[in-house]
Amino acid sequence: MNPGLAIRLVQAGIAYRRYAHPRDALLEWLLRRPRHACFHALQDISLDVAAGDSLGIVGDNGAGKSTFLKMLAGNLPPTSGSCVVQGRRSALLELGSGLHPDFSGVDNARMGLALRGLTHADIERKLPEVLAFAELGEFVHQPVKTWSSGMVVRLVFAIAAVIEPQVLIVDEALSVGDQYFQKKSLDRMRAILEGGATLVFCSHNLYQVREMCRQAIWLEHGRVRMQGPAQAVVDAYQDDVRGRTLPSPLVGEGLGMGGNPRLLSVTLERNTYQTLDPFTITIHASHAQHPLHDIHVGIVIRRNDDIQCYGISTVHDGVTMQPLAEGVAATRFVIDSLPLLSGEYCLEVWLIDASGVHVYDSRERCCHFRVQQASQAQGIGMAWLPHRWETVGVETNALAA
Amino acid sequence: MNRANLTLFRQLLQRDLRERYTGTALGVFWLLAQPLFMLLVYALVFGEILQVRSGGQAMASTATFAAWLFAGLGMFNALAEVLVRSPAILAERRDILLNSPLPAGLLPLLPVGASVWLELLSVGLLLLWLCLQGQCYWQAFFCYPPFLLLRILLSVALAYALAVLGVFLRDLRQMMPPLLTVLLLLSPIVYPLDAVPERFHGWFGWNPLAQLVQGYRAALLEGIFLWESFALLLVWVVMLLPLALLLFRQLMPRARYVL
Repeated sequence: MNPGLAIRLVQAGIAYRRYAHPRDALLEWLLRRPRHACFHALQDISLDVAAGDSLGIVGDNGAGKSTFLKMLAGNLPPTSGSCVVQGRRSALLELGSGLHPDFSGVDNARMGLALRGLTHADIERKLPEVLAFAELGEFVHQPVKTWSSGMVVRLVFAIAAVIEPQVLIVDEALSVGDQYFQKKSLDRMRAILEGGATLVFCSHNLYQVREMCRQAIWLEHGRVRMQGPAQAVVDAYQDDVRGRTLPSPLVGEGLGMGGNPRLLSVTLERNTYQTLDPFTITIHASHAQHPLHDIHVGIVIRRNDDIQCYGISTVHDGVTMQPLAEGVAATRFVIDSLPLLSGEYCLEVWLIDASGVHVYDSRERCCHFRVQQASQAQGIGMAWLPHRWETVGVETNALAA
Repeated sequence: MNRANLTLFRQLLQRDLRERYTGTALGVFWLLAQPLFMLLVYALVFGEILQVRSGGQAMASTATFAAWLFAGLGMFNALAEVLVRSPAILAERRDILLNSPLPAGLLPLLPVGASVWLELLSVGLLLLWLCLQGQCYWQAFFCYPPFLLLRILLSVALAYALAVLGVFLRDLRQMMPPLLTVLLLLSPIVYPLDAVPERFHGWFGWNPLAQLVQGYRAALLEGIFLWESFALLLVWVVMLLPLALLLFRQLMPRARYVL
């Protein structure tokens, strides 16, 4: 494996075999005749993660996220393909697994460290650090069964994070902790990342995934639906979730009537934009026998959750389309720096008369395009709004009063 | 086994022993209390009431009979520990096995580890008892360890095979206690071999448990090393151990599906 790589998956897959009865698994082995039904939890996953990089995982429940993490953690060998993870790995998976309810936090911490491959001397050296990080006070000497789930997370995270792993794998579990500990653990994860370790992070809190990870994959039904920069993948996933919460839209194609003006084409120069990119829509229309001043274009930008972001027309702006060829007119709509934030958008284009009431032709939900933000620093929501922050002058009078 | 795995095994064994006796008044002493109680019952019934005596030696008193009995029972109890617990050990530790990178091969060693503890405690007690009575042979300290080693290796073989088979055949867990009673009665543990009619001796010659008991008794009580028993047991171990390990390796990936 390339020395710069921390994780390499080549067409890795995990298929669970389901047997009607445990003894069937034995009979199958003896008789060499299949007696199982296969369930593919993960299929055909190829992925390289460089050392020091961070990988986020998004997807619906049951998409295979936990299985994927288990495979990376080494708890579950892939049944096809290969999965290689370089360096000491530490995983924080299902909450409370591996903890024994009857034993104290200290005992469980020892066990947790041993399970992560520490020798006796290392365990005794690291133990105070784990207990200090978990901040459980006197409770560490109480049986774990008397703890709240938030306290369990504290201990489990402390065990996973304190051993300075080269690959840290963190599942949802964190969300159980209180705000204070969540922040503390996120800070710790960031510190581990900065120390050159690799992070694999899975959360339904997409904001956290975007913040913590550079790369991301989106799992769907055990397959990779998308992989790439975290920002783009999380956006796409969010768009998909938003899209699913709406009834599927009817795609209305513009129907031109005999001698009436028609929209010939509506084109964008590309279908992905960065926030603040220049943005241009070119519209061609046939005006038939109608005079140019009676043919106007209206444009609405919609987000895929049906919110109208902005709409304007040549009527309102007092613009006339320019003749291009025999019976064809064209115009171009330009936004110098597109203020839209990340999301999936589409256009609605109307060909209307000078009164703005009569519609010659229309295209609804055409020219789907996507906007990506360079980073969360550009803000959240639908559009970047012009703004500034002012220093608050100290008024001596006000202070005196 | 590297050092990290050794630490892990120690942790697991410690947890295993403590888990059983957490909250009980006697704690870890149950490990001894149980066999001692059984010894008391057997010594009373067979020694005092039925007047069973080993012909090889003059065992006039019930006290010497008790020592003779204890040498066999200590070993048998240790082996019983392995046979009873192994079929369930993977299911018991399912959570930790599936949710951490724990090497599955460590788990069947847990009942074996516990059995070694159990045996060392009872053998220590026996030697102490013999020394107090002035019947202690120094040769015992050299003759006993080879048989202990064979007993451990035999236990390891049984533990691996039973552990992985127990996942598929849950009935094994129910079958073990009655099977143990049968084994106890078919081996010269509570009765001496010379009380058995000649025509049955062929069976006892091949029964590894019988050979173990003979070897243990000769080593601990008389300071004699039984080469014949040792050789026969070695053959058993050499046959069973690779088979059991192979079975475990072959079946373990499948066992994960049904655990």
